[in-house]
Amino acid sequence: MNENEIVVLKHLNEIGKISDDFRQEAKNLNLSQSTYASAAESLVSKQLATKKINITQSYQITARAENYLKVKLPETQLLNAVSRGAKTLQEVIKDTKMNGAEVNVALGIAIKNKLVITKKENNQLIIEKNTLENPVEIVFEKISKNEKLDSHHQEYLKVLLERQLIALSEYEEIRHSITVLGKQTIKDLKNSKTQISQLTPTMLKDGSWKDADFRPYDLTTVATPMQTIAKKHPYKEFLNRIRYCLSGLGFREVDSSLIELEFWNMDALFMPQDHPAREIHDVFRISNPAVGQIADEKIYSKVYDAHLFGGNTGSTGWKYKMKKEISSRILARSHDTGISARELAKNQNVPDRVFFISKAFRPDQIDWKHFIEFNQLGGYIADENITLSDLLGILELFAKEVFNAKKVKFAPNYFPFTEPSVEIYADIPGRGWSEVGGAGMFRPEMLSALGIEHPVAAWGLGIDRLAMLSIGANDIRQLHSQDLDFLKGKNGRMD
Amino acid sequence: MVSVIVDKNQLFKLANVKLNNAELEDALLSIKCSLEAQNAQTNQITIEVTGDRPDMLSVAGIARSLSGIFEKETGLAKQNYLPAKWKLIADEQALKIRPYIASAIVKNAKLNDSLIAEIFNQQEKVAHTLGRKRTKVSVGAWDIEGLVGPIHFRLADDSETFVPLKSNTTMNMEQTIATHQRGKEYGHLLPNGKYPVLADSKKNIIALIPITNSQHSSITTKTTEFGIDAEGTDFQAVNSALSLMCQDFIDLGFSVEKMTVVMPKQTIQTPDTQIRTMEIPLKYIEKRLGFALTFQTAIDCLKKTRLNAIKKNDNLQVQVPSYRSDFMHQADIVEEIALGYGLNNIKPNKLHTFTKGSLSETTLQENLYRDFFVGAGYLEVSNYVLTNSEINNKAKVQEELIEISNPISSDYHGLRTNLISGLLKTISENTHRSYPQKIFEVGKVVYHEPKLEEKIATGTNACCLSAHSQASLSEICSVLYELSLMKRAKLTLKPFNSPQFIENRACIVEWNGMKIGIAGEIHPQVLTDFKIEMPICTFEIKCII
Repeated sequence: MNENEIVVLKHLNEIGKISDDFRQEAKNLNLSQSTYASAAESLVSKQLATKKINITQSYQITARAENYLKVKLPETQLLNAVSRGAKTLQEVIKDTKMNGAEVNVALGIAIKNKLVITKKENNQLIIEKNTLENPVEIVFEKISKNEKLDSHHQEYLKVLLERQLIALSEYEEIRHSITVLGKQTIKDLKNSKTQISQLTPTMLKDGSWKDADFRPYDLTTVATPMQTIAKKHPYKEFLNRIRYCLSGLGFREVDSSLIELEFWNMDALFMPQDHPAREIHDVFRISNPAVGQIADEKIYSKVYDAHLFGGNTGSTGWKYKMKKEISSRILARSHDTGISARELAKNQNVPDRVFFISKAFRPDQIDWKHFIEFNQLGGYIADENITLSDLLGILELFAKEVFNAKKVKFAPNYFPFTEPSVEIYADIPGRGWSEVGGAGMFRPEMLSALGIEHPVAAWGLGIDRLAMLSIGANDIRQLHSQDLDFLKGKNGRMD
Repeated sequence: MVSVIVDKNQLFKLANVKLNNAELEDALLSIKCSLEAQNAQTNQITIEVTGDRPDMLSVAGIARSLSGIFEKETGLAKQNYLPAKWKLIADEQALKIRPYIASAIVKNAKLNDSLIAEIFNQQEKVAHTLGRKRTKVSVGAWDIEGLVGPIHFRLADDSETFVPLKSNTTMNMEQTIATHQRGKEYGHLLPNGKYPVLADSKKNIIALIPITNSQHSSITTKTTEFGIDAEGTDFQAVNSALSLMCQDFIDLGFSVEKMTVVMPKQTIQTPDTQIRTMEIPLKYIEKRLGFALTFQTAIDCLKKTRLNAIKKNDNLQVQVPSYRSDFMHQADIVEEIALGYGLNNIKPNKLHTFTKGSLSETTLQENLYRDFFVGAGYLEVSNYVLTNSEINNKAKVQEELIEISNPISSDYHGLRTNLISGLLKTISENTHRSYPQKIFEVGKVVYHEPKLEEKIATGTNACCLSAHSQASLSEICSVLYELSLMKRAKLTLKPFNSPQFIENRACIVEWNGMKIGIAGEIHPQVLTDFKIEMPICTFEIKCII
């Protein structure tokens, strides 16, 4: 029972018999009608009280008739004027505040109800009173004062209704009375302290909390959803966990742009310009503008030489002349390896360990596991002594730390920018053996053109499928879901 | 990756192995292939081959590698060619268009439908990968029955006609370019009005190079002797294309006879089967692989990958057959050794140097803002960077999208320049959910930056958006107020009007006198266009200044 229910129950107990209408009782207890009603309703449902509903009819003075309560009905006004000595219509107009038209109407009613009689004298209408009082007026007043009506008043009620001076309204009275169980409860309450549902500042000030008995909660229903909640995005948090993991392993994060020159995206990676992976269906080209301006002519000419005859590496190269109009095309980054090329050109310290999480865009079918925009986790290790064995060690470490893999295996593969090239497979809980990415030692032709003579081991891993597993998404597009309930209800996790 | 379909039993027979599915899968992975699909009824399997190995675009090529890895047959493949009897005379005018040509004759061939299909498939794939869509190399095969030598490589004159492959109409070269499917596809490779052809001495046209062969000399199951040709712009590529086809026929048990190719300045025998040698210090191999190995181990590894090598002082002298075209640098030899050694037999090294790890400034800033917005009661959203102009137009965004010239979907034909429009779309997708809806995004946007070589810069923006019946500019500016305190920046708001916002209910946001963004109450027309029936206030600012 809450406090209000206790107050109402006690009140009903004091009354002892059936209460008045709840509106009146609410007033007596200084509670709002709705508070009283809901408390009483709750008592009824607990069988501590019963309720009785009475529908009563009553007559109410209509709005248009309210003024007559002060000045009396028109025919009464006329009757009174005549009683005071007025004889003609002019004299009645003078005596009352009614105008000619109103007096005419009043006279018509007064004659009809036999309050006055008229006769003609010297061509003038003379009014004489026929009764002392207007019975309609008496009933009208009784209704206004809510007094009881006698049976002989009924005919006047009809008149008042017809004249729309009163209206019939229905009224629902709800009365309550305490039950035996209620009375027992009161007794029990008296034996225990008051149950408190909420500690208040007042209780703290006056010390009444010391005597208070705090109402226990129903723990099966106390936990309910919040109306609104603010949360971080599960996919973004997933990416952050990877960042923390890699920075913990001694890798420094490098930023990347979404838009790239074809030179950095492809040429600088020793990918020949006629390479099948450079065709129009493998990259998104930008149209406004479509062409950029290569900034570093020195690097451009070294890359050009590498493609043509291998530069200074002893390689045969691709034996063709790079076209600048192809190199200068602007595209949406199609893979993350170009970021390595840019960073290697800029920063040639050794040892250096770099990583980046970057967006890549590629024309592809769109379905539950493919989308044309995705994230890649890439990076490299530049070190005078880095070897393929070191690279395999790093990849094994990533697979276990980042992908939570149980086992790792490697297979040879082909990428134009690495030699040897490695494909990584990991046995991931919940997913089984999966291809997780590619890696390799950057080709000497690529490195030399960027001014680097030490070996660099590089890798690029797909992370969106892993993110799906981590977030519990069954469609890759859910990683960027616009459904707010999904975002509120699902949390990123890494077991 | 290029996929080829082969008969599993034939593969096992040629490689002299018998494998279950799991073993086959692993074995293919170890030779840079992967098993893509199996047809249990026909025994046909689809195998993906990496783009650098055109010599493996056939059942014989894959079998050659498999037998090496299983040590059934190691070292260089046997190249027992018959001496040349046929002549091919290449004319100077034709060589101006395709500077190199090589050819050979296959004898004692036993062909069935599936082998013929495979030969055509291999030729297509070789011309596509090694041949770079026939620009660098094109290849062909033709029944020799009824042809009279020598074969000529020359330009056709206007009167000459033939029936192109898979056609039944006699036409001249010009008509072939205009009407034949291959003509339409590859006609652009030829200069106007010049048509190099292969023809016999009786003026029977064998092929229009590099477009199509003639129907009359097409290969059928009755064919026992046929010619193969390759021509293009790079001799090594042309020769390896021809060599790899010849090697396959030798491995299949047919005889291959070389061809005498007579050019204006020299006469050669093709294919040129000269073994190419590459010298590589053992030390270099060890430094790249990261473990010590003996000469003998290195040689054994190379033999398993169907190469050969001998020790020469401190170096390995590696022998590369003409059908292998994937050796540009010593590094390519190292990969072959790793492959022969088996990547999974290499012991991975643990990290042994110290470097300092760090997060990028962008990540640190992004996280600072994200923490703040979540603390302020906003739910994080992460929309795609790809978007479309409809969303931009509805949001009345002033800047144009960065457009993709070859989009594949009208929903995603450009890169976003702002975050507001995407978040309005998010709200419009959630009109059935309860309000208030308070969301934010910290994410990448692009904008024009002529100073950059790629002309378009990537920035990080932050956008907060609040949708409920009382949403107001003052509400959203309170968030900016608190954010400014955190960033220790002086916040100034200046009047701003744009069709995006209700007039006189938007502002420019400045920090320390520098414009960083805008804030405002979204215009009812914008809301109506997004079918949103709730007031929205928002701001978008640059996150990294």
